[in-house]
Amino acid sequence: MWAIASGIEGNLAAYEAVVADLKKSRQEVENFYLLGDIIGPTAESNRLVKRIQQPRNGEPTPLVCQGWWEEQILILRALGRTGEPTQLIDRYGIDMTKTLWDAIDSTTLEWVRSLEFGFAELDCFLIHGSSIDVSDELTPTTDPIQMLDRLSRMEANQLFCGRSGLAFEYKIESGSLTSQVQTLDNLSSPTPTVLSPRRIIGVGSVGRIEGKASYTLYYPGSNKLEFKTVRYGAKKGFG
Amino acid sequence: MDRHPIYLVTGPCGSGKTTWIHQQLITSTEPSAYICLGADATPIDLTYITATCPHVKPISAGASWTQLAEIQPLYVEIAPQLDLSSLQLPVDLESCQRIAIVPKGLIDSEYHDWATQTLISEVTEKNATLTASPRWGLTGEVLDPASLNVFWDELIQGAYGSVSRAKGIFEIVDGRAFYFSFGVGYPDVTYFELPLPPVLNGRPTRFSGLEVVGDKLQAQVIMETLQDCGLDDNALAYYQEQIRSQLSTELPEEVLV
Amino acid sequence: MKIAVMSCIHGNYEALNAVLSDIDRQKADKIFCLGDLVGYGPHPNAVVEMIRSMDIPTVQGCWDEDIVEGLNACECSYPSILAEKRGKAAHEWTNDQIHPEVREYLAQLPLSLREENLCFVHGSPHNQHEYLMPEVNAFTALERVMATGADVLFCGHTHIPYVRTLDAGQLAVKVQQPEGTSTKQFTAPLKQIINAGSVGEPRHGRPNATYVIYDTDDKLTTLREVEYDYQLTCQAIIDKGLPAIFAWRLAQGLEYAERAEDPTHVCER
Repeated sequence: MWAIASGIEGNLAAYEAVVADLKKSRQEVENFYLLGDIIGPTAESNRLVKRIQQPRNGEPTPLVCQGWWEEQILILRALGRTGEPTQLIDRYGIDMTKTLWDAIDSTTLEWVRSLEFGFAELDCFLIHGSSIDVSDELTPTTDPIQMLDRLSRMEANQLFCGRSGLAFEYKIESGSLTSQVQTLDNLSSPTPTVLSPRRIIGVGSVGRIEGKASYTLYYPGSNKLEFKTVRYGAKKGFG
Repeated sequence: MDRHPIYLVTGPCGSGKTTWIHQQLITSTEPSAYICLGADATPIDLTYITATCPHVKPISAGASWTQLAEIQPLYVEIAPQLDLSSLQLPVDLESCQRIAIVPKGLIDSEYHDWATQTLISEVTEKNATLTASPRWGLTGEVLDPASLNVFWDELIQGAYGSVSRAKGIFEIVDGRAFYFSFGVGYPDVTYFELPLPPVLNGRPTRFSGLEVVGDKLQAQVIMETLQDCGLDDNALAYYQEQIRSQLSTELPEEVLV
Repeated sequence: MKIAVMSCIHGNYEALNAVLSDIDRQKADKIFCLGDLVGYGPHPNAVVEMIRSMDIPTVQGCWDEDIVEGLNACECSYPSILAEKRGKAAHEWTNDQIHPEVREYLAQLPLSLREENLCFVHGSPHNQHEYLMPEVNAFTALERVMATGADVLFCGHTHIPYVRTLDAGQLAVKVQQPEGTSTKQFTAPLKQIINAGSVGEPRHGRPNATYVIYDTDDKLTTLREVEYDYQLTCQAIIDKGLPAIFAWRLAQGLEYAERAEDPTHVCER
């Protein structure tokens, strides 16, 4: 069994709730993936990162990749792939640059730098946004041809992602297309392409909604998915 | 053909001498020996034969002739630069099978006169030459395979002069050595890997080089282009380090053998 | 309306002249150009001046960008060390020759153009370095056209012209969320990718220039192959001190540099 989560956004309580939920499971967690947005613009992020780095007895060690927030702090500290924090300012305003800068300490920054971009395992690819960009937001309403493109770029049958924060299974059950190519010397006969089923999975968000953490379980043996929601904190039972 | 213990093989450049000898050796498993007289600087043929026929003992041209008698059959390839009439061999010529490999269309030549048996190859006369062909020693050069492919295609398609025969041994970045062969009338084999141990620590010291038979060859441009295909020390060290760490993480049985 | 679309002139003025004359004979109403006006060939300024003087709507190609921005391509955009050495030699030569106003013109070129249901790009809508080869997965090809919102996508960059017709596209999708399940059917109407080939650096095995004519009324494409005196360009390459191998490759219809082994690879930098 794999547990796959994303979007903790510095919410330590939400992360604790997910880890506690996993401990209750009868099945062993073989792989525990955290698909980015571990940190948010809060000092609590530093404590969360320490917690993630030090799993307690019996807790699985998470495999972590970079998310959108991680990319923003790298850009701010001139360690990113692009120079300007345009996305951060567009989305949260100019003040957020200082808030994020001040929130993340140097130890956390070093940890962020060491993270992977994504994981390939079996016929799955696991990443925060998509193979195009960490900010690429795939949702239940994304165009199917675009979804297909993201899958084929990773040569994966299953793409797990977390940017939207939504929990969903987007299954392309079948597809067909006819293609004909004319060149200077040849006109091919129309060739059909038939698609085998494949899917994109939104794994939910641990910390974005206060009091309600969602994540995903995947069973590689049976190929089954299970979307989990954990209520925690003061509002438990009412959220 | 009667079995003779010593075969002396001669013919013009590019006529197919090594190809014929290789055919004899590769189809046999009995211990044999091979020597190429007159081609010490770029021993492409010697490297090729010993790498692909492990039962063949290579004999360097400086070896004493007493060594030659130890293993038979012995194949002696005689480069066309050597003058057959004044050729001094410590064996009785009459006891040897003297074979001339001549191109189609070459009817009367010193090779015909000298040989006890003349074999006509698929190569046409205009594609073989009586003069020495240019050679480039490349030992120590490690080439980028994609660049080598481009260079080779350009070479055999005539970008650097008209080429009738080309053969070379090239070291590439993953530590392997390849034999490249092209010839009008030759079997359509472009290249294959030589069964040699991979070199992943610095530059290889074993022989590599190129020999081309052709017309109006731009020797200087060929050399410069080959150098442009090569890796500098930094790049080579970087890739070798990557390959070594990749190999060390793989299972032992997957390591290159 | 008949439109002519050409691409990848690469400083080959003789070839451009021959193509413009052929376009004249074909009575095209409008001409579009898909970039790579300069690079490798011996007449970068003359080519740009001709395109400008005719007011031909043009998108920026990867070579045009490199001349403007400076060579910032990373190693992975070269398929081999040899190609990198040759590409850099060509870049340096072109960079020395190019006039300031030509550089300014190349700098302001757009990355794509739209005209009704037609879209014009150099490589692909996502990246001017991406090669849309005719054998690219059909759904990937469809995505490239759909991403533009157009019905016909004109591109160049591969230097071999082709027309790819994508028809009867269908996808069945089932979305499950905690809130419920929905299904949808997706159908794509007829879409086309039309690759204009290369005016100045053909790769189809003959030295002739290639471009396309598209009739917007009957939606028919004609792939044009135009003979010209390529030996003049070969001689100019040698006379101007560009690597002689470019002349040989041009004469073979082999393009000046070979293409990446994985042509879909795009540098992430």
